[in-house]
Amino acid sequence: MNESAPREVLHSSPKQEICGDDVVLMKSPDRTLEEILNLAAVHFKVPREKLGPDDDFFKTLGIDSLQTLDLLTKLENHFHIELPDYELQGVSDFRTLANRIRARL
Amino acid sequence: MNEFQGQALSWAVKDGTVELALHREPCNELGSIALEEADRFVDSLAKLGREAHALIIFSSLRAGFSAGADLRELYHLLQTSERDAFLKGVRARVERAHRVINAIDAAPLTTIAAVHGVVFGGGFELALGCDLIIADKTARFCFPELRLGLIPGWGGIPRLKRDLGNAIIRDLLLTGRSLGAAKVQQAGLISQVVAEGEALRAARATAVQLRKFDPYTAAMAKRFIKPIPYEELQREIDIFCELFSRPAVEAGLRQFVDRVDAQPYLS
Repeated sequence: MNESAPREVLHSSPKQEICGDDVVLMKSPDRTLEEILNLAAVHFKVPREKLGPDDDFFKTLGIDSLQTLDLLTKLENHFHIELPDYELQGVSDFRTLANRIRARL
Repeated sequence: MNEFQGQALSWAVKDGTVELALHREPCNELGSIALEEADRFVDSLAKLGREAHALIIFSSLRAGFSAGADLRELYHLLQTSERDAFLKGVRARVERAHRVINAIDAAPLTTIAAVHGVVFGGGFELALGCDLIIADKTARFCFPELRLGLIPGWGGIPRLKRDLGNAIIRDLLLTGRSLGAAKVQQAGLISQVVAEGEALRAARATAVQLRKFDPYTAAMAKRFIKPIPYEELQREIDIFCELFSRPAVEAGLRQFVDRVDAQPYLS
């Protein structure tokens, strides 16, 4: 499944959202995606330029089920989120993955 | 025997600590060989306890601590055995796993599970038998049994009930999702979360600290604070075996064994 990117303007800098007394820095879609691509490239030792937003990460990274869980853990730790496994069911491209993560930021 | 080198696990006493290493590729699937060797280990525990004050259980494999029961072996047995004999074999296997984990749970030593990566099913249940869990940041904990039409069968539910609140247990069991080390520590199950690759080092440092205390006092403290829920453990065996006789389990095992995609744990 490849969800298209939101049509809203891609912010070049983080947008601020006020939640009660807290100021939460919201990451723009492209920044979240970029961080995922960088993290995947470093962790799985794949040249960054070989990874594109719409690539199938199972194929591009050459990962199996256990390595997918490893990637999930890396993403949770990096973004300080909790991402249930079942939310990744059917997700195979980096862009959709970024959208799932952004929904938890 | 204070040293053993097996096909699935090995142990040795080092500096007053028993170190039990799991090392069966690909991810310490716990099948008949592992259980047989684990049985030998717990038979040696009384003797080992005279030479050591602590036990560390860890995996020497990169993939993780343990992916749990060897489902491929179970499926093969299911396909090649007469049904009644197979179900009797399942009960014998579960009872053996309980005997092993109960012995570790009740050991007079202070026990530490040093875990990383995959800590699933029976592997999670083995860790739950230990007094302390030290996890590195890569650790993921999961009870995937409902996918197979089962409940965890090696003492998972009674020990989780002993250690945690009911809500997070329901989450783990009913969704079958995996939880990262940070979340599990937040729930109160993990004593330390350390950097990637540091769990064994941290466990050894903890074992050095444990050595400072009188072993008899430590054993008494453990018996007082950590009762073993034998009655619930027995009920779990019965429920597990009853569920195993249903066709849903064969279908679940077949689906798991037949899957060739990269997502068996994400469904």
